Formats: sequence, C-alpha cells, structure tokens
Amino acid sequence: MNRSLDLENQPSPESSDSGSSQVLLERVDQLRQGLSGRFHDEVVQTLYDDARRIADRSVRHQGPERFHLGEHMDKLITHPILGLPIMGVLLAIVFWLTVTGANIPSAIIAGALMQDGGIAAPLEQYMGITSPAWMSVSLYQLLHNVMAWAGSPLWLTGLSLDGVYLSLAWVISVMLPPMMIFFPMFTLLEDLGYLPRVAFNLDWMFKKAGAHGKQALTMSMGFGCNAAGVIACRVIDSPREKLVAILTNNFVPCNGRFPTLIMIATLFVATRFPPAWSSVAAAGTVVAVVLLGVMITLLVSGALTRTALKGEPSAFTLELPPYRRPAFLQVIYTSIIDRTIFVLARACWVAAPAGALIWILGNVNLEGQSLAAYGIRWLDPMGQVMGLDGVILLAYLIAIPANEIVVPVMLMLYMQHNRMIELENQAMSNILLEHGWSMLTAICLMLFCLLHNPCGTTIWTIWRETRSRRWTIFATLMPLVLGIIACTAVATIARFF
Amino acid sequence: MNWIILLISIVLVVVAMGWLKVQWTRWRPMRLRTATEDALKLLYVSWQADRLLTLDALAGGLGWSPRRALELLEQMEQTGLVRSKDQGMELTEQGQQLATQITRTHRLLERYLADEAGWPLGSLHHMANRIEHQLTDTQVEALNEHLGHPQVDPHGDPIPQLGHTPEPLLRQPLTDWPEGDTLAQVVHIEDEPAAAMRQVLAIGLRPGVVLKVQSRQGHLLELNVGGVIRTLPAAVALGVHVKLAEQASVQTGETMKLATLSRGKTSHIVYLADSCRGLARRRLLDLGFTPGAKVQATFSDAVGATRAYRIRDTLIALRREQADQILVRPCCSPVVESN
Repeated sequence: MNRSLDLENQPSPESSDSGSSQVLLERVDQLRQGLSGRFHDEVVQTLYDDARRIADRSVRHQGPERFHLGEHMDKLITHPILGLPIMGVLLAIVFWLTVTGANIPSAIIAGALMQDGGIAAPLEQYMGITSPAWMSVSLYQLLHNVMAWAGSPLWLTGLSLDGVYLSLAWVISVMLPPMMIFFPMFTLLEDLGYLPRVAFNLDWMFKKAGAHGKQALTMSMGFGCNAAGVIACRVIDSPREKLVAILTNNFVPCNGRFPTLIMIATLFVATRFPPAWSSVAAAGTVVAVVLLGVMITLLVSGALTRTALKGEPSAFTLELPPYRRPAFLQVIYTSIIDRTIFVLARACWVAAPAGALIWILGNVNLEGQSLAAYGIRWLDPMGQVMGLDGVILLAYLIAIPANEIVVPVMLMLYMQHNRMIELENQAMSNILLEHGWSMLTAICLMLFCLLHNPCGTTIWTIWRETRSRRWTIFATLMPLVLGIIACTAVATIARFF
Repeated sequence: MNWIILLISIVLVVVAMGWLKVQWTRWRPMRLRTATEDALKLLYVSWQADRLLTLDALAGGLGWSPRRALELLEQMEQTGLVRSKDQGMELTEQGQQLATQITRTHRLLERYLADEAGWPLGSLHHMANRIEHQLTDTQVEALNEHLGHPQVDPHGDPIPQLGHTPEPLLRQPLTDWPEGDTLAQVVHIEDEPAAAMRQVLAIGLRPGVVLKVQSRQGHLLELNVGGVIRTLPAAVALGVHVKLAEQASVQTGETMKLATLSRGKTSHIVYLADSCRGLARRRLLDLGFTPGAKVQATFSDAVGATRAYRIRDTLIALRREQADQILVRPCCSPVVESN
C-alpha cells in the first residue's frame, strides 16, 4: 500500500526534465483530492484478488481439506474450562524439566570450570562413575597453577582468575544448561502452534490491563531469561502494547533468579513443615511468588495504560497458525543460536567487568577494612528498614550485571572470603541464621528478588529495543522503587505485630 | 575550612545563574513562536472563511487580554505577517504561507495521534497544540508521507497544502438539516470549545456516522443515531457539520457487525467502519479482511471477549472491539470451499 504511494510521489525516471516532473507532481496532488476515503481498501482488495487468480490458476487442491484434526485440537485447547488447566500442566512440565534437567549439566560444567572436585565429583555423585584422578582438577585450579608457575603477581591472579574468570564460569554454569533446555522446548511449543492459542486463551486478562494477549508469550519467555523476553516483545505489532510488555517483563522471575527463590523456599519455608510436606511447601512458595509476579505485571500494565501510555488499544490481531509437526533440527538450531548463545554472550560481556569489581571490593583494603565492608555499613540502615541487611543490598548492587551471582556474592560477603563460593544447604542455613536472618528476611528477600531492577543484560536489551533513554531508565527504576516500597511495607507491618 | 565552603557556594550560585540565563534565552523566543503560531491558526480560519479577524476575536480565541493580543499583533505586523485592513487583520503573503504550514502541521498531528497512537478524539486538539510548535517543516513532510497524504483531519477539517488558497468550506451545520428521513452523515466536528465537543462525542457522533434529525423542540434537537434516540442542544449542534449520506454507508440496514455473527455462520465483508483507521485498519487489510472476502465465525475464549475467525484459509483471532468495526452481510451457504 505504502509502496504504491511512494511511486506516486517520485517523478518517473523518464521525465528527467524537472519541469515536466513538476507538472506530474501537481497532477498527482490534484488527483489525490478526488480519491475516495476507502482507496487503500480497494488497493489491498485488488492485490488479494490478483493473488487469488494466480493461485487458482497454478495450485490444485487434492482430496478434502485437512482442517478437521486442527479443529478438534482447538476445541480442546481453547475449551472454556479445560483450556487453562491444560496450559498450567504443560507449563509446569516445561519448568520441571528445566529445573531438574539442568542440575546435572550445571554441576558438571561447574566442576569442569571451577569447583574443587572437578568433573569427577558430580559424575560420582549423580551417576556413580569413578573417574581417573586427572579429571578431578578443575580448569580454575589448572589456571591458578599456570599463573603461579609464570610468576604472576597476586593482584593479577586475583583480578583475572578469582574475579573475571570465576564470575564468567559462574554465569555460564548456572545459565547455560537451563537455557539449553528451556528455549528449545519453548520453541517447540511455538512451532507446534500451541503458544498462539495460549495468547488467545489469556487475552481477556491482558485486555483488562490494556495490554496485548501476546504479552503472555513474552512473559513465559521471560521465565527463561528476561532479556530474551524483551526481545520476544517484537512479536507484538502495536507500539504501545509492545512498550508495556517490554517495561513489565522484569516482573517474571527468570532462570537466574529461580535458584535464589528455590534456595530460600527450601531453607526457610520448607523447614517449617513436616518432612513429608516440605518439598510441596517449597514448590508452593515458589509458585506463589511467580503468581504474585504475574499479578504485579497485570497491575502495572493496567496502571501504565491508564496513565503514561493512555489511549485505546490500537490493534489486536492474532494469527492462530495450523498445527504442524515441528522441524526438530531447525528448532534446536534456532533456539540455541538465536536465543541461548545470543543471551549468554551478552551476559558474559556484562558479567566479566562485574567479576573484576567484586574482587576489588572484596580485596582492596582501606585503613584495614575492605571496600565491601564500607559498602555494607553504608547500605545497612536502608537494608534494615526493608527487612533485609547491608550485605543483601550490596550483593544485589554488585549483581546488577547478572542475577545468577547474588547468592555466591552474599556468601562471600558474609564469610569475608576473597572470592565467590557455594555451600551445602545445611552449612548455608547456619551461616544465614548466624547473621541474623529470620522468616521476615526470607520473605523480604523473595519479594526483593521479584521486584528489583532488571539485570544489566536486560537493561541493555531494553535500550536496544526501545532506543529510548527515558524508557530504559524508567524500566530500571520502576521495579526497584516498587520493591523498596513493598519490602518496607512488609517489614514495617511485621514489626508492628 | 569556612572559606572553602564560601568559595564553593559562590561558584554554585554563578553556575546556577548562568544556567537560568541560558534557559530564559531559549524559552523566550520559543514562547513568542508559540503565541505567533497560535494566532496564525486563527487567522487561517478567517482567511478560509474570507472574513477579517478582529482584535477581540483574536484575544478571545487565544484566551488573552486584548492588550496582550494587541502587542502580539503589532509584533507580527512588524515582521510582515499581518496587515490591518478596515476593522480587522489580514494575512500578508508571507503570513499566509506560515499560517498554512502551522495549520497543516496541527491537522497532520491530529491525524497521526488519532490513527497511529490511538488517542481518543476528545484529547487530540490539546495534544497537537502542544507538539506542533516543535516540528520542523521537513519533519512535517515526513509525517505526511508516513500517513499516506491524508486529506482531512480526524474532526473532518481539510489538511491544507502549501501554496494553495484554502477553498471556502461548503458544509451545513446540523441545526439546518431538515427533519424527517433524509440521512445525514457527519463530516466535521468543531474541536472548540472542548466542553461542547465532549457533549457531541458522548452521544456517539463521529465523522462518518449516519443519522436522522427526528424533531426540533425549542433549543433541543432530537436525533436518531443508529436507531437510538439522542438529544443535543442546538447551540452544541452548531459545531457539527453534515452532508447527504453516501450510498455505501446507507446499507446499514442489511449489514451486521462481524462480532454479532453466530458461531459457525459465514458472511461476506461489506466494508470496514470509518472509525477503524491507521495501524488497526492496515493490519486488518493485510490479514485479508477486505471487502468481499468470505469470513466464518469459529470458537471464542472463556469470557467471549476474543474470537477466532476463519478467513482465506487462516484462523485469525480478533477482539470484540475489532470485530465490531467489520460490517458483514450473512450468506446462507456454509463455507466449505476456501476463499
């Protein structure tokens, strides 16, 4: 449609003489006055008629239409009562496979890159395989020895290995396996034609919030990674709804934040229940946090479309493609190259400098105290008001580039270690209790985990997608402010009783 | 120690004053430009109606005191934009050009806000008034190109072209329309005063809407808008202009909204409502919702807000609001063959 208009505007190539093109342009302007208001409709209709004619001439249909299977599937999947439970079960399976399936590869990668036992330890623990001795050395130890042999000064080894390398290794081992599982499964559901039906089923909810049904898809993508979720917002074709989806994507906890939630739920909530119920309680807690995130997404979307982004929903159209057998190889290729590697590369770019910063904070001393200690003391009053403490806030501040390292950084700060560490559940629980953690701390931390600024990768992606400094700043600060308010409110109310 | 604090405060005060001065020098010409352009828009309207603008009318239109309006006019006369004639003011050639440009900018912006940004009709004028002073001519032309050279703004006013003398508007206020069965189509709604416009919009009148004047009772007009009887004060109806309804839009009797088609039924699209514009209209057309296309209503979601339609061998889900914009004529044969 637009192309035809452009043609009208440009002088035709034959009339190089500017005088005659001027005459032509004036004629065009005159003719334009006489066009009917539905001129565009007619142009598109003609295009479709032409396409129809060509198709009729060259395409032959054989046998009856194959719509019937799809129609039966649609009846089930978009069923008014069964639709939602089916969706819940499918998504639950995807999450469960991601979380449990990622454990072993995560442990192996961590072993290969940095854990003390090397690959041997996880292999023995999960599969009962005894490996030769050389396999129980991690790359981290190897590099340490190489550096020592080369006579590198302590600060260089610390900065490059304990800082940059360790944070990269951490991000890769925590991030890579879940993404390698989550994204292909997600793409598979998309390719099957199921995901557009989810958007269809949930559209009424998003409509009430003034948002687009496809936001349901970008949100589920956000469970894998918020940066990928923000990129996925490209599928929403109306600008306002797209912006809403980008700004609120951070309210769904991503793979990097799930470990924190699961850890707190296991250590603090599950232990309050009898052993038989503890895992149910932990899972229930995580689900409750996720649902809270979905609720906040809808509320904030609604608030945005009624204030800053006021106006009627501009366009809602949703294609429901026919069900197809997915092309497995292509799915795996695109989801690994386009999503996993892309997101991981971006995460590494921001995690590397953060690693250096962490090492400097933990190891540079000023008047006998590390820089981290100053930061903790400075942030502690605010942390106390929010039901947290200075260490947690500092950990979140340092972990802006990648949320995966919040827990290791927190432990490093509590134990005054010089590098990030990981511990068994019992040991971790003891350390946290020693440092004054209570149920209130756990609840506030879970809230803050849900409601804080997006990670560096996501902030960068938001900027790339919106190209607006103002919206990027808004998307960064809005969740943080909400988090501070929510935590403070919960802490204040809890202290009241 | 104290002298350092003193020094720092002095430096800060100097910096702050410098900043304020820069802001002031930027703000003053901007304000003058805004005022001049607002006056030019009023002058354009009187130019179009071929009458002179009096000082009182200008002051009233800008919401200023006559003294301030006079100052502004003197300034504009000095810069050669207006000249006084008889009892009023008239645009010079240069003034005509600038007045055309700013009116064009204003109406194009309204078109953009309505079509692309989805702003409600009632708040367009105010928003366009705020942005129009900041656009350059190149940006305006780019906007025109982007919108596909629209001819009228969302209220129904023509978008002027540079170098063209505006043609006097031949339109009839609703108050002059005869009572009875003659169908009138709204072509224009005056956007000022805002309260009157809100009243007009509240009873469902938009450019393109077809109506009948039922009766006149004193100062009240009784209108039949799509089968519903509404009343409108004559003073407000003066801001609504109508013409004889087009044949295409009179077919309302036979057509129904796509959203009301029952499940499994098939229909032909007759046309898309005029209120569906910009991005929304383009999307619908691109997906194949063109006049003449065959469309079948299928399943809907749990609360009935969104429904899937089969068109041209594909399934497209639309919300009720979107499907309301598509006018169809039901056809009896159930669709098996594809279109």
